[in-house]
Amino acid sequence: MIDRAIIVAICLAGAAAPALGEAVALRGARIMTADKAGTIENGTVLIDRGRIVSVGANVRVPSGASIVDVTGKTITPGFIATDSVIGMVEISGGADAAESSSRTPGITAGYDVQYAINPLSTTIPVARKGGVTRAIVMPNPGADGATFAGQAAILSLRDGVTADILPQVGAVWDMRAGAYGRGATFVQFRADIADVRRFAREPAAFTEGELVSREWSRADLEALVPIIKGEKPIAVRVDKASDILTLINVFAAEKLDLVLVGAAEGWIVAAEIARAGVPVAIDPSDNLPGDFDEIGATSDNAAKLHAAGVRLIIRGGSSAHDAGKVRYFAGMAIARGVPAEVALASVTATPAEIWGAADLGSIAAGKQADLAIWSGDPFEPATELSALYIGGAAQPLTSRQDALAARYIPAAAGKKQQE
Amino acid sequence: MIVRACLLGVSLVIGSWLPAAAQTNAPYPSTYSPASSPPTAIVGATVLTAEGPVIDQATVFFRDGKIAAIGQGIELPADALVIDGTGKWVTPGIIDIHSHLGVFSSPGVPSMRNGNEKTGKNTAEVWAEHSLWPQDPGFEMARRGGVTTLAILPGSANLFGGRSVTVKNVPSISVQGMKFPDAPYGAKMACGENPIFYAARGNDPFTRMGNMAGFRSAFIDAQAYLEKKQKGESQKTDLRLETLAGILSGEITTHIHCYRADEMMQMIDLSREFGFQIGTFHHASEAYKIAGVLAEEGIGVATWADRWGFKLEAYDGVPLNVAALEWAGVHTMLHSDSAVLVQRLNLEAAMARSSAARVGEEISAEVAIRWITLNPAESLGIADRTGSLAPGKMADLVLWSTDPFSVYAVAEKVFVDGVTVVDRDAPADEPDSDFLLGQPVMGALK
Repeated sequence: MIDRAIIVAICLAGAAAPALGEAVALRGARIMTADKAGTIENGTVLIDRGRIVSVGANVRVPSGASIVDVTGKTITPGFIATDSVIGMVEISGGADAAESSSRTPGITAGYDVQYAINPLSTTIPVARKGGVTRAIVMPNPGADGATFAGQAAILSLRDGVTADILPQVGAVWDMRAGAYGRGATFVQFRADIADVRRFAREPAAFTEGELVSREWSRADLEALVPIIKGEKPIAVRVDKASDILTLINVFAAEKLDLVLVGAAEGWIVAAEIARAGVPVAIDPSDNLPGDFDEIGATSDNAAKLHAAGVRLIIRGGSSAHDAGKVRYFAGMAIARGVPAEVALASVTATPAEIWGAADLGSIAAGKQADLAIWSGDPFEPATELSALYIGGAAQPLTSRQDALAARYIPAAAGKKQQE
Repeated sequence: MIVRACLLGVSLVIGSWLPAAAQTNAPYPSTYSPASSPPTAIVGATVLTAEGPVIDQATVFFRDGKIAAIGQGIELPADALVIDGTGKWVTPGIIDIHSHLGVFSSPGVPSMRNGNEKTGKNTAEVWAEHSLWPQDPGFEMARRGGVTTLAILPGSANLFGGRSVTVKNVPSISVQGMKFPDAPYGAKMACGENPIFYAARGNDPFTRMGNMAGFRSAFIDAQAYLEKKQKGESQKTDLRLETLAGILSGEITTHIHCYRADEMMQMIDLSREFGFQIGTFHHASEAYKIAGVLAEEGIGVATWADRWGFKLEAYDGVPLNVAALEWAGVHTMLHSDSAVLVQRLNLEAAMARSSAARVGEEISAEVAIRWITLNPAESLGIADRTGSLAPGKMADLVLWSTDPFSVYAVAEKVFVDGVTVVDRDAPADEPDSDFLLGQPVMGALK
């Protein structure tokens, strides 16, 4: 009962101050900052105009700020679901309600997920209920064995009819080893990169037909210019240790910014990955030899990569519907030896930094106020999400699933009436 | 061999979910026989028996492969191996009622996709055990998740997918060596989208009405076959009709893949038309819409904690499904249908519990543990021997590092018939699976 009273108070406070200039102080919580400050006991977060003004054990709260008592709660940054198709997929299969890749060979690297995202997808409120505030949305490889899948984007999971998207934060490339053969795919990749470099220097080379590594579209070339300049990363989905080493070498030679995604056998070459400074996005539940590219898959991958000094991103539940479960995947990594603060950063600050959104992913002055308020340990299933702020605005925490439950399940209907 | 002592007590509870015991002279018999193990006691742990209330600071003592005693203040023989369970938890071994390990194996290469005989709408004649590859590394990983028994089912691409097999999760060269002794058979059936998509490759059924017609025609044939059989009239043994007749006679329980509430209602009418008791609806995303009916019909439901939206018929799945079924009195279970989820059925149970708590109605650990232990044992007709911790039952149990409903819980030790099959304190330096043995890089040991 007491718990419920506090929850209501939080919701009201949030609704009263949705980034409109009235400061809000969340006071009394355990604050896991995912930043240099670490975990602050009995701390305060002051937010104003959508941003975090200050955080700490002794924050001066200006007069006129509303104070929300969150004593006994735990505050984390909102979680980031990496390598997700949320917003692009309503129903995964057989319903013509999913798009995660280009369907034309004419657009590959230029395929831009920002146009495929539906902010009204029912998957978004479900993910919010798992404390997720942003997603690194990544396309899958498209038609005709395309290796460049397209451009990733950072999606805000805020409630609303217009999507809040940071587009073109990086490219996604897939080896398509099965389609091309390893002896071809890297040769093709280097030829492609050479063409893009030429295009960046002399755009006329395109119209003059001198870029011949493939049948290029201008959109694809333009999309790759920031990549060859090293301004944005390329995420590569790969599992096999030997392929990871090849990628590290090729990307080093080409001076490209690599992010490994998948990396089931990453632990085998953890030292080489660490030395190259390449971040790795892994799924801690990926521990089976699903094919001969991941004979070495193990539950210890995350812990071993971390121990070697690799920057870790935890991904999990890459389906749009499972994005809200990313906190459990972080918990699984902790259970297998990843320190809790590293696991927290792996689903908050680390992906934000890697995809160039430095004002997301942690609780520190100047950052966007993406905050999840929990009843306890954020990685435990028994813990409830009490409130969620995105850019300082309190978010609704109800979904289509709740509406169905309220229609058919008496306990859920009762809960709805109380609210 | 079987401990009859507890059979009577359990059967009072399990009622209509208990399929008839398998024929003792059946072909392809089990050759499973547990190795010997020392008398062992886990002392000082929190114990969830799946039968009664949680017992704190308890001792679980087992010898000769059977549970001997549970409780506080148990006197142990001098030769007992004592394991300190302080701060840890003990539960029965986890039972997955919907697995494809060994029939859709890792590695998932085409030659190892042996779980669905997609050559016709009715392949009731095939038996999953004849596809099962005991070297699937997935068995080993499931053991490390505390899974001691699994029902291996055929896939759901056709109306009748074939017979399931219940196995103990032990290393074995042959399927016979892991087959649960005298476990009743099950038969896989499938509603909805999957049999229709199968038809897209040029066969019937093409529609949901085609699905129903296919079920009905098959059972009409089976009725005639069964009638002749019961009269003792001579007829050539028909493997397909043997399975269907077994469903009608109650010797074979049904595992029906079905998502939508309206389709489950059709299947209930089908069972009435042909006079058989449905065993378990699997997946059953919309079971919460008809929870009262399912409870009244005595039909079990095996589902996930929170999977939805992967196809249209799963669009209405809700995280409160499991809790709603439990509250309505449905025989409720969690299943995996996945080589990954099977490793964390305890976490699935935790998620389902927490959904209940979120609407202000707690479900106890004592109830939730049954979703992954005793309840599937009852539906598989093996609850007289496993599924809960009670004197005389198989010593199938897990020592957890902490509360099994925590994301941090790790199965530290797993016992099958008293034999240690997982021990994180003394990790094996070799994999059980021959497939992984000797690989230059070998990760899946852990």
